[in-house]
Amino acid sequence: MPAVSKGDGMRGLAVFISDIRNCKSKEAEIKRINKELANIRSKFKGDKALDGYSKKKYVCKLLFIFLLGHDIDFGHMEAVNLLSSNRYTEKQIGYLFISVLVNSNSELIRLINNAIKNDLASRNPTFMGLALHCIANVGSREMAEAFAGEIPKILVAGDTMDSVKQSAALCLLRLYRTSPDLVPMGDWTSRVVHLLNDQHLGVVTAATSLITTLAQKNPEEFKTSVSLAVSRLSRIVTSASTDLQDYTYYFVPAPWLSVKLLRLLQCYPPPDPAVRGRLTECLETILNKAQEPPKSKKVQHSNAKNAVLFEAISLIIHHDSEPNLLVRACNQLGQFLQHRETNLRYLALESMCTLASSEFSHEAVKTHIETVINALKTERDVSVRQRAVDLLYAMCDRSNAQQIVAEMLSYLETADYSIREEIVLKVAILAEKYAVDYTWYVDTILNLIRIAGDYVSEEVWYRVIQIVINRDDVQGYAAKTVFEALQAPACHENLVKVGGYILGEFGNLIAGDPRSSPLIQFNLLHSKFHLCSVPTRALLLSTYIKFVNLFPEVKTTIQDVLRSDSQLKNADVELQQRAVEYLRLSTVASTDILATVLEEMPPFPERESSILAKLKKKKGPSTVTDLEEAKRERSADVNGGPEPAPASAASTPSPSADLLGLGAAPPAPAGPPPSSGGLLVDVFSDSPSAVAPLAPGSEDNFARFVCKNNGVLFENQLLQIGLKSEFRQNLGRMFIFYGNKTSTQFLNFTPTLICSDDLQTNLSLQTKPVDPTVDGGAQVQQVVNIECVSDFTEAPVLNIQFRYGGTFQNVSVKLPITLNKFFQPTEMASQDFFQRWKQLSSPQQEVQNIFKAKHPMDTEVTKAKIIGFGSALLEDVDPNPANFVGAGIIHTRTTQIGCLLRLEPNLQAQVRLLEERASYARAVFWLWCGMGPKWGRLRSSERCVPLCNLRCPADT
Amino acid sequence: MIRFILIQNRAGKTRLAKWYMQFDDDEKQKLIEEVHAVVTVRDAKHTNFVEFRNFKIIYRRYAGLYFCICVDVNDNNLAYLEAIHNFVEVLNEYFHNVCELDLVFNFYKVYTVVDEMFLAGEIRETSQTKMRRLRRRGRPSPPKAIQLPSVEFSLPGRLCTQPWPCRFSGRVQIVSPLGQVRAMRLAKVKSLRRGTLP
Repeated sequence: MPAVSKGDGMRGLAVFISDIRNCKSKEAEIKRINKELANIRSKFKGDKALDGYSKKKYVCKLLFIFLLGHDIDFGHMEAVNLLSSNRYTEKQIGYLFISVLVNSNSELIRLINNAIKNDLASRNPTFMGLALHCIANVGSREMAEAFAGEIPKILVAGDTMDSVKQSAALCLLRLYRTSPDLVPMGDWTSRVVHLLNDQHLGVVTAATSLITTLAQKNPEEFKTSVSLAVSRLSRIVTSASTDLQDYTYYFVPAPWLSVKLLRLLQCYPPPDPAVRGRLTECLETILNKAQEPPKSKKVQHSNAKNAVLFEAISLIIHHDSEPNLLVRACNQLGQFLQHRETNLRYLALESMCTLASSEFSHEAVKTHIETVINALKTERDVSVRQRAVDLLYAMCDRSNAQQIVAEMLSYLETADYSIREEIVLKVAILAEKYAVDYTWYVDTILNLIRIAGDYVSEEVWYRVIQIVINRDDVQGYAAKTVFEALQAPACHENLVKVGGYILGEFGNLIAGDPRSSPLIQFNLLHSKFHLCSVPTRALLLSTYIKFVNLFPEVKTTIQDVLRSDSQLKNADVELQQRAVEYLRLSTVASTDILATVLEEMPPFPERESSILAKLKKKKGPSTVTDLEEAKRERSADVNGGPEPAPASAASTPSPSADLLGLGAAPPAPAGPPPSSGGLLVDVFSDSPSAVAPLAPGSEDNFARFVCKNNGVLFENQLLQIGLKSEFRQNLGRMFIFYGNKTSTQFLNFTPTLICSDDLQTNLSLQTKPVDPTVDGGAQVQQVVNIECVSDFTEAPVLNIQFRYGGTFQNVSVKLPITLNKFFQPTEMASQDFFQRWKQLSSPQQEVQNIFKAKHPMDTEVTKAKIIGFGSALLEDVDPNPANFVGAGIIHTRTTQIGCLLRLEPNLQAQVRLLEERASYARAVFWLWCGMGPKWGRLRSSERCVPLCNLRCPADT
Repeated sequence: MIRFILIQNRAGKTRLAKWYMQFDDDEKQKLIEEVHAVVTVRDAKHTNFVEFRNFKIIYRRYAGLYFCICVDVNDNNLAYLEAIHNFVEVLNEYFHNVCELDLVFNFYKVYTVVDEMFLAGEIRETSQTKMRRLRRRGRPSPPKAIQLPSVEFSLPGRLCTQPWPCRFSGRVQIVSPLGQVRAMRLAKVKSLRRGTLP
């Protein structure tokens, strides 16, 4: 226990904090802070060396000032000094300062890493813990590079203290999340899985989080964790509430650990029968416990118990294979629906939503419909009501659709504005999906427009028109209904749109009734005309011309309207043009022509409802409710929507052309730009990389560049990185193009080239920083001058950091600079080739690899590939014409290495033998590495020689 | 995983902010304000969960303080709700009856407690017994009431560890800072008279 000197309360700090709190105004606070900063600065600069306590105190004050929201530009050095103190409290403040004020100052990072390294090696569990927490809090790439190798060792070492293991597990998790490429799986993985058996439940708690995350990415490697997790879980749920001592929380044994274990099991399908039996027992025990009387009246007890219960239900739903458990889960949730705790009602609704989609429990969920409807009416919390709507939507089928839709419609009248649009979409979808009788459907949609017209998006009314046009049986009813609805003194503009369109098409079906004669129809529509927006007016004009065709008796009335100044001289080009053209059409065209031009709309092709697509998008994972974007996409959707205007108007794209469905075509998805090396791409492999969306650090794209120099290296929604490079002898130049694909500026745009120490000595890269702001749609270029000093294996990493709309973006990609780029082809006669080939016969100078070709071997493509790789293709050299032979020289600053290459395809067996010999032992191996990702993928059959075997003789 | 942990008072002053995700400073400030706006409007009849951007916030109110944890949408609500309570109980024991001022004056210790209980956005330790060893390492400051400046008297009482509104107030001792300060002053005066003040 560290000695406590002067009390570690830091009186000076307490006084300073009190002073700040006493400041009456912001100005006074700033004044006090500046005074303190000056004081601290002079103390740090002073001649007198500060003792640890003072240093700690001042650093802590600086930290406080920073946390108040003021910038701190000094004191980092002193904080780093504190790291090497032997006192816990001083070290702790040092680490805290570093964690909160992360600074990528390279000088300091080295010192910090050094201090961490010392503490990790100190074998003092408290210090090791502090160091690990610091790594976990900062989690930068530099730290990952420095410690990703060390931490797994600490984690699985037999003599590590439990608390250190806990920290190490989560520290590793953090590094894996930020830089997965730096945390390679290895021997430690199997030992980590066994931490699930650890005696210390804290270690198991931490390790389970790590294993869950790793298992999500590498399910095969962590498969054994399933049975271990099940047995651990079974031990916990069957233990008495006192067995686990301090891990029992309000009489619930290890609730958090249970939740984590259940979560881990959700990464996998149901296990083998043996394990499955035990798991089912566990789950039943958890369900049984929920029925037992509570051991404590405290809310903590029930919360902890139910946390486990809900996670168990999630697992049951995830497995979706035990009807018995599913129904029990559903009944349990049903009880919660009427619980007095709002939290439980909310969670039960949420959980039941997923349960409703399982075929086993769908019927069971449906029995709770009354309760859910009641929740919709009585819940005070809007988020609970929202869950109730979701559940109603999920449990809806043909049998209860009418009831549910009616309830939702009546709720819509009082619903919160924030969720109205979603409810509208849901009602529209349900009405369409489960409509037996389409008159009901039409009524529902018109009601929807009446109740919540503002929230009815374009898709909804397009859809109703599509359906009416496609179904003869409903057209007359639709016309009658809209006509009646339009008679309301104030009706929503969306209703005018639907009404206008439907009457224009099917008004004739009700014209026989004197109450809805053509003139009355027209007057009714025209009475709304002046209250409507431009797109609706344009639509109405089209309806009028259709009326001219349908009802010759109103022709003159309509012509008068079209001829009026407010139409012909309308300020809006679209309206004016329609008026002029329609007027002309109605005067010059004969009835036959008119009838042909204005023929009834043909049925729409059947397709997935665009409303559904919209709801999916709305509910999708990236629900950043960007209205602007939604609108833009909406206009693109319309292409397939109804086309209210006759063909004559089709030649006039205009700002209001949305309505015509002629809105600017959706931007074509940017395909991969044609690259000169296209031929070389994926000769052998499955060509998944061509358009594949690239995860950062994706090897695929990197591999494509082994044999080519230009193309797109990386692309996501925001950023595109293109490359153009040229190499001559040992020099090269690479142009990197960063394209901003958005319309928003990127701020603090900083690309950095990262080379490992090893690589730095062998490859020299020079570049200038780019402008930190990249405008929307703009492209910036960066030139990298490259010199190959000596042979190398790794590739540099290009890290790009920028801010986009307030969020910090971080992208890392491997830059395709490989040794073969410095490969110059050499022509050689047959005799020379074999003479040299024989000279280079020592085992160190030779590499052989047999691999199975995944694709049919095409001679031309293979040839192109070898040339792309950099060597010369020597024809007529090998006595066997089927073989490919290449030769070249690798240029580095220090040396030149000649390389020879032979590829011997065996067409019958689809196997190839690739041999290489080089004049310099290491080069052979490096060359292989250069080819690594591309050619390495070819080594798919077990017959091939693993690369590591080749390493032994060649690696010096 | 946990995206961030915030402790705020009703006025929106941040008492602790712990980030497990990269945000820049402006973004952090925005998040803090948004969380405050979202959480303070809710009453006791509401759930302890709020959807928030692409995440959700699990929060609990203790006297004048809101403890908020922002997690992924598919995370277990109740587990994090109780993680908050467990955290508060640990703080309560660590500071012997914690109050808001403890978090202000000992902010650096709160960070240590957080790191012991949550690391890398995951729950690290849940045992309160294990957390007790922390007390041995960094001792909380001695008599904090002496440091209380006069303005603090208007602050609400000690944090009770029951969720607000406090249903079991009978069992939880509520000590008003005012009373304590008076007692300390009295003790000071007495010891002055005796001439034994250190």
